[in-house]
Amino acid sequence: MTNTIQSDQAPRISLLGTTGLLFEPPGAMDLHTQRRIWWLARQVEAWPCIKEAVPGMSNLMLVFSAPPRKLDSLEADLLAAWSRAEELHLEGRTVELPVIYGGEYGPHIADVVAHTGLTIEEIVRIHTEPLYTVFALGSHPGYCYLGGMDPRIATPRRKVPVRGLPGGAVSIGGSQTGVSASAGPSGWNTIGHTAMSFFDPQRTPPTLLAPGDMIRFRSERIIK
Amino acid sequence: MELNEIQQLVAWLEASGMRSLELNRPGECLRLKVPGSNPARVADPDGVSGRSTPAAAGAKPVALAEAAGIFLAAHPMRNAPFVKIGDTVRKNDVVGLLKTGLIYAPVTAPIEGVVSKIVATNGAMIGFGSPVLELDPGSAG
Amino acid sequence: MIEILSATALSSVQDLGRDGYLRYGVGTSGAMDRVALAAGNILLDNPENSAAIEIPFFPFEVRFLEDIVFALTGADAAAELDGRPVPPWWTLPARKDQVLRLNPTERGARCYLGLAGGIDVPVVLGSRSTQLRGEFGGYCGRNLRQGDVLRTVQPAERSEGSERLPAAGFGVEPPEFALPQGDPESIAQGTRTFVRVLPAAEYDCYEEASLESFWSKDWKITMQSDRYGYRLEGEALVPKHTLEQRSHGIVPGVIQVPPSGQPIIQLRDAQPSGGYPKIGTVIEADLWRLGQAELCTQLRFVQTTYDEAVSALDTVRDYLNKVRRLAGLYRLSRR
Repeated sequence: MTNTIQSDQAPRISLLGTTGLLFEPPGAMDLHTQRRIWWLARQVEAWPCIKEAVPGMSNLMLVFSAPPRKLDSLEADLLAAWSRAEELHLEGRTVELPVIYGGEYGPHIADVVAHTGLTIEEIVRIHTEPLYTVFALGSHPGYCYLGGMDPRIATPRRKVPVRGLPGGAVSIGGSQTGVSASAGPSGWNTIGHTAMSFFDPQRTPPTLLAPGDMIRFRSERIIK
Repeated sequence: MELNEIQQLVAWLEASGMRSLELNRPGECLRLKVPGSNPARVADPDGVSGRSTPAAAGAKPVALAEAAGIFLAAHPMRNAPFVKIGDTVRKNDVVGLLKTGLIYAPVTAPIEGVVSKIVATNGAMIGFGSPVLELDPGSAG
Repeated sequence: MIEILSATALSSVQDLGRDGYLRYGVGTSGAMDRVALAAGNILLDNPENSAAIEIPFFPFEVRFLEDIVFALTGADAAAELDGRPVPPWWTLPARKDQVLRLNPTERGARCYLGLAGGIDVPVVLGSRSTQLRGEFGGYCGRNLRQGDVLRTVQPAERSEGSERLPAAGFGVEPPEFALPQGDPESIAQGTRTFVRVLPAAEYDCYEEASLESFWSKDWKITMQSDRYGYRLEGEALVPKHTLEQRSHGIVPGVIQVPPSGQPIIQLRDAQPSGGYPKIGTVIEADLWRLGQAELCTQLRFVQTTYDEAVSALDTVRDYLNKVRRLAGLYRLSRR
């Protein structure tokens, strides 16, 4: 049983201390909801007490420029905006990523096999089939949260996060998949590796990909 | 402006040897004047108390308070005091603190010497020019 | 200009943090104790956001390559300048070739070494803070090493007062005494830190007994704690049902609970988003207290309200404003 808000419920708004708040609408984590989140982010980032609007996977974090004295009216405004929210169609470009699956490049693929009951080949086939949409960036510079993963290969996040995963690691966390843009810790299950530069702080914007762009994984090699 | 800020300004005004001070801020103006004919006491720009007390011959060198404030023998973050009797200190070493509001002003050793007596009471309010500790000139042993 | 003399671990150039790039996956970085960094800058008459060196491990030594005024705030590292003691929370002029040594701290976890003008490294995405993940910002996007030479920003004009600092310097009352929190013994010993927390989205998903423990028991800051996050040890927090979150934005202070039930407080180098359940958030006004809480000491969470938490930010701001006003007056009086 998960903590998803049921479709007939109101969006959940919760505090992140006095630094910001989290807006979580009900329903599925799908492209339709994400497009409305993109729309909401555009509206909200122009509001006076908001420093930044940060889309997540079918949710939105608002970071305050200064904590609003009247939280209630901000919450009311947010709910009102959401009720008006349309789908914002961000048609981006498509990028193909060659991936080496398994072996030393996919140290946790065995855990995905164990959890799903599928073979490595089946997992790779299911992982490479869809055209994934970049829903949001987060986690670390240039990292893309992707929507559209087949639930058959969903695998829960690891009980203990792993401290040093390399840049280019292709991973599955719960029902999501993503590619790390640099070395660092992660609680996801790493199944493969790709070589690609996703971030350059000297560029504007600094990221290669943006919400609305699309990714296709291509299996270059499977190591058993 | 708060009372302890005004008190601090008064203390510094006396210490600096200036005769008056006017402070203007939006919405407020403060004027302080030193009454009477206090002898000008110019604060030593090096912050070293080179003065000794008006002395009879043989009086010991003394570290003096450079400002008014609450004397602290130890920094609040520490258990041990800056100095204890018998310690050798060098010229300009910090031997105590004078706390006024949030500011900690140093009490410094005027010369190299051995601490022979701690005169000021820890936690007591002391005035500008008060003796803090006495030194025997030179180093120990 | 200064040269790093010691083989140092985990020291880095930080300012108050990098804002406005969370949506690109760029976390804030910045000082773990932003009050100490800001106060050091105020002592130096620098802009509050000037970059300084954050030092979490000792000993640490630097050589001054020119005459310059420095400030030391944060932990008490029994500092010595050419062997002569420097009090904590102090500013002092240094001469060329003098060596400043910081020793294992008596109290507190991190020191901030500030220089007049501020450390000069390139501003990347609006900040001089070191972004280790991504390797940019700060000093070449990495922690400092033996032999590194750091320059200072040469300001167009500096107020006269700051050039006339007396040789013995001066200090300010540290915030742990100006803004005390907790019982007198904990404050005196420094072995238990109290921080205020606001409940987060998944707070109500935890068992009553767990919530009771969360507020009333000590949480030990384990050795696996650093700028990414503080891993705590205590009675495991048990959710009423399995929680699997969608990835969402987080900020420093968010207390995540992985399946082990042992909470992790996400801090300045944490990922700007995550998917573990959140039981609460340490309020921004108390993050500096976390920054000074040493490894293997105890943490206690204190329940607060949003209004109190906002007011706490004002209290911290008032302290810094007062330090600026009084330090300015003190410098004036020393002329």
